Amino acid sequence: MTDTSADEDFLRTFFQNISDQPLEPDDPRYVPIYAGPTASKADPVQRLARGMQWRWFESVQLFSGFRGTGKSTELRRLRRLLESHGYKVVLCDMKRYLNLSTPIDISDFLISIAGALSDALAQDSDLAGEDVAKRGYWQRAVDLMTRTKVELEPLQLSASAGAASASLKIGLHQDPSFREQLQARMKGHLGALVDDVRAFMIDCVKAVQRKHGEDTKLVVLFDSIEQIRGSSVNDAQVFESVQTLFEGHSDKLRFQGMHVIYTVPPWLKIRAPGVINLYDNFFLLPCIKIRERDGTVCDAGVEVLGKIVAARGDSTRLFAERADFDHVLAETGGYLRDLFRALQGLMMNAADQASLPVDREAIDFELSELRNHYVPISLQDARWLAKVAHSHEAELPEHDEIPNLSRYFDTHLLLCYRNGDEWYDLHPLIRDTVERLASREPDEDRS
Amino acid sequence: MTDGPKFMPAPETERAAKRLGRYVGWSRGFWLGYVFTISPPQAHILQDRLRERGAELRILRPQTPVELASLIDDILGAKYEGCTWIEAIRNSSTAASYDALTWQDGWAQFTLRLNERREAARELLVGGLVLAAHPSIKPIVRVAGPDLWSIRSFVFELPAGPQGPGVREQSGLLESENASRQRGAPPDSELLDQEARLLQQLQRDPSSMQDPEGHVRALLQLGQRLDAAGRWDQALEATREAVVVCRQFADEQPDVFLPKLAEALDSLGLVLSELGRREEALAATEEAVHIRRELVEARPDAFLPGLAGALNNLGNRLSELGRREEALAATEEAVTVYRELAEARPDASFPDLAGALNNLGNRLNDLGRREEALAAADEAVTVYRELADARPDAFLPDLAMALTNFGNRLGKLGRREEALAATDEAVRIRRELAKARPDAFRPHLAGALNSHGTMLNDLGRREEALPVTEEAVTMYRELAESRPDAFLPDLARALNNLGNRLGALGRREEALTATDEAVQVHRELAKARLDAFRPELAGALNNLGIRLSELGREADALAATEEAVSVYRELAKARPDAFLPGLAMSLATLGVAQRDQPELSAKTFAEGLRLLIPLFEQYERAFAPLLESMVAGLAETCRAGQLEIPEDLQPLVEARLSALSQDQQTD
Repeated sequence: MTDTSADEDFLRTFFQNISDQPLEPDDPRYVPIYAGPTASKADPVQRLARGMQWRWFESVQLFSGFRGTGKSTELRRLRRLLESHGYKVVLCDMKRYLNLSTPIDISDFLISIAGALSDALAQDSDLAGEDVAKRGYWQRAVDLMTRTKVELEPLQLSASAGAASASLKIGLHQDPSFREQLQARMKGHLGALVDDVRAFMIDCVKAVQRKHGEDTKLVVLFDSIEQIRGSSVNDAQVFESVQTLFEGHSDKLRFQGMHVIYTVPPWLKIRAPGVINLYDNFFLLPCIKIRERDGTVCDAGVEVLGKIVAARGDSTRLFAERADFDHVLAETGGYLRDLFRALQGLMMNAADQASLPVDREAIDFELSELRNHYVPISLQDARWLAKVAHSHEAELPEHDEIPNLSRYFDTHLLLCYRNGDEWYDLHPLIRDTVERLASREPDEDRS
Repeated sequence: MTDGPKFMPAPETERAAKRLGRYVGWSRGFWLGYVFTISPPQAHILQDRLRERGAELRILRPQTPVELASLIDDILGAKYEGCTWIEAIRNSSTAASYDALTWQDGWAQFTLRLNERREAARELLVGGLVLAAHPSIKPIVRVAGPDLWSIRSFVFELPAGPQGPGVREQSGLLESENASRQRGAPPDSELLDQEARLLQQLQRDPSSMQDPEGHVRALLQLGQRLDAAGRWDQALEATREAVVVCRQFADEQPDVFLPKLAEALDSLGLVLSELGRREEALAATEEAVHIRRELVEARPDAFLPGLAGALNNLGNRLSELGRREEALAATEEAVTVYRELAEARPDASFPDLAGALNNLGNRLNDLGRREEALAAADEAVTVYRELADARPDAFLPDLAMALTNFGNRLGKLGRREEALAATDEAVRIRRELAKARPDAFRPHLAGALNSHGTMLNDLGRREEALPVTEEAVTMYRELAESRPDAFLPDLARALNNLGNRLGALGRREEALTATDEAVQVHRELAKARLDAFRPELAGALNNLGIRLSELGREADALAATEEAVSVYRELAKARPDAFLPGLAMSLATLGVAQRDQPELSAKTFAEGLRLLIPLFEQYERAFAPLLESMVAGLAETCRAGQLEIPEDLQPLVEARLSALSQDQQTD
């Protein structure tokens, strides 16, 4: 039992250090998760960097990751690594440009990525400077539409060229009907648009080289594209559109002299396995593996999770025994955000009870609270999830079911691991619930 | 200014309040929490606790789903240091008629937009954000805003209020071997509370386990009383505890505790079913049947009634899950056993036989065996009427239920005046019952109103039918607000009917709104229990096609009707008796929707007619209206497209058109 203010201070500080946010590699809390053998034998950042270093001219790589696996942190590490090798790196957060809940089309995607890059260059005069940034792509796109007689009402109503380019940017991000208009009217002019975007990208590369030397390589990381998803009304169309974009237009997403990474949804590879052959690399960031496929404990994963927690606070004060800590690690499945949530809950529990270390009852209570976040699980979902638990494959019955699979990944009912091949497993907290539900449905009623 | 009513915090609420206080105190920067509850007062207790701790709180309570969906700009307009609390504890299916958005839509749109702008939320809402919603919204916000959900700090699920399970130690309580519903005077609520508290004290006292049998009996009694009082959550708690104790002692003393376990499982199945938790209900009931079969082998005299009751329940549970053939088999077995028992002891077994017959009628009807269904329903009414004459307090509710079903069976066979008389009597009985015991009988009254509205409409008394159906919808909406699992299916059915009533009166926009809501609810239900809700989804889609077509929205109508046909086609493939009529009906609707393409439309009508003819020959009165409308549709389409009526259908079309023409001349 304890009630000292020192314990309260310890718990509060530990709690605050557990906060969930992307870390820069020099943050004292940063632990190189993927550099060792824990998640896979490959460090994604090294792989992606090498994918650029080993290609002389340009490259296009796809990077995917589940929420909370540290994707944003790893992208920051990549940026730091590339900058240390003399690359000029631009990180474009595409959720500021794309409407992530409506179908996407190659025409508005191209305009958006070019516009995002021009904005990034304009914000950092050290990168390219000059007139590339000054004029920006938005104005260039409006000019193209004027040239090709693509008439869009919001643009025509704009009083000035500047207002028209602002309308274009806002319309693409916030106005689905504008996007629809644009997609429809650009259909006959896609070739001209592709040429125009390519020309702009080349201008950007040249501008960077003029400023920093002709050996300087420009790297653009287009982040957040993996977050595109529809609503219950349009999810099928949105998923279809993302597949079409990356599978049907891969040639249009490659730019001369530029290294590009697009973040893409994890399900893309499942829905369209051939997509990986269209790009120079496809890397999916898995969860930290705490168990092998056969259920045996993965010591390396447990060790790295221990280090992550140790970098934020003293877990030996929180837990009476290492076995208790390991239990929490096992039950949270290597999904960091749940591990953090469980630990924060335990810290609060300890403060509530004025009792350090926490006992097994408190641990079970907090894990049970966390489990409740995942329920209810429908029978239909349980049946599918149970199959995945058995085979460790995605068990995708039809492509129409991709929205459901995506939902499982999005909500972490399914976690992804890797031993060379990727494999999937249930979140440990829902295993019993899923098994119980799935066992209720007799075979003859399955369709 | 006056104080509002004071609400007692549930223990979970107290715990959540303490935890929330710490989040506010310990967190640095943005955090996000979800509160799910059906009870705004419990959420307000959390707010009070925060204020007591000196937290600055900005509370926003949108009044409509549209207002909720557009709150983003308000909350992300400027940086706010305090905690932002957004509260809309409204049921997901509650649609505001003026904006046609449900709360489910409102939350989905809000979450979607907040998910997109979560970086802005991180920057601006530095004192944290709480989203407080009805529990039915939880799956919506998880899916609509997975990034937000992924960074949640906490989820609190608060109960409606303080709970107090327990029961008086003993009091001549009812003990049921067959787990059929107990009827009679409703339990006194105050005494029930006392009993619940007493049992709770007993449970905490280890010495209570010195008499486990008494303990189980008390738990079962309490469960049955709570069930009868409509306090199903508490009933579940008590009954579950009974099951646990029975299992604990069943190996040691099987003679005592196996029958008790079966009984407890029967009760558990019933309570779970009331709560809409059908799969769990089935599992409990199946286990009860299994145990009772074993018991019957040893002592048939003692345990046959129990087995019959369990089989009857099993039929109901299977039917609730859409497993019709298995449901019929179980109910038939129950009727057979009860008949045997009634021969030996008519007084004791007649009520149970009547109940099983009523259910048999339902099961046969589910499979399209309508004449047999009517015969069973008729026999059930006869038995219940005799019983109700002798003991109205005990058997009037059963008589009303049997009358409603009997009316429906008559209606299915086209005997509509008789059907109306039956459902009218059922409504009268249930209105009286609901007046006395609203908690227990309002759902039953709503069901009777729904059926009665249909009957009135079928007799052409459309103006009278509308308010009756509206009353049913209002009642179900209120019921579904507090217990969505149990009453959303009923609400969807009533909405579907309301759409039909409004459509029949030419109020097309309103009809579309109601039918659209019915489809949405059915679709959600079908996602969770495909077998159980697909047929109704198909029916609602068919009606949606009609409503859209009436408004000239042909493309939308076509899409809805095609989906209905496709679903019915699959259903009819597996169970033609039950679903061929639905398929024929949806083909008729599709034929109308395809009228711009005469060849296709004619083909669709012809397919529907060919399916319908054998049914018409068997049940002429039930299918004559549909047949005539399809004949007229085919003739009209062929005329418009200058097409020949298919040769095999020509005699029928000519005969029906000629009969129709003569009728019109006579009129």
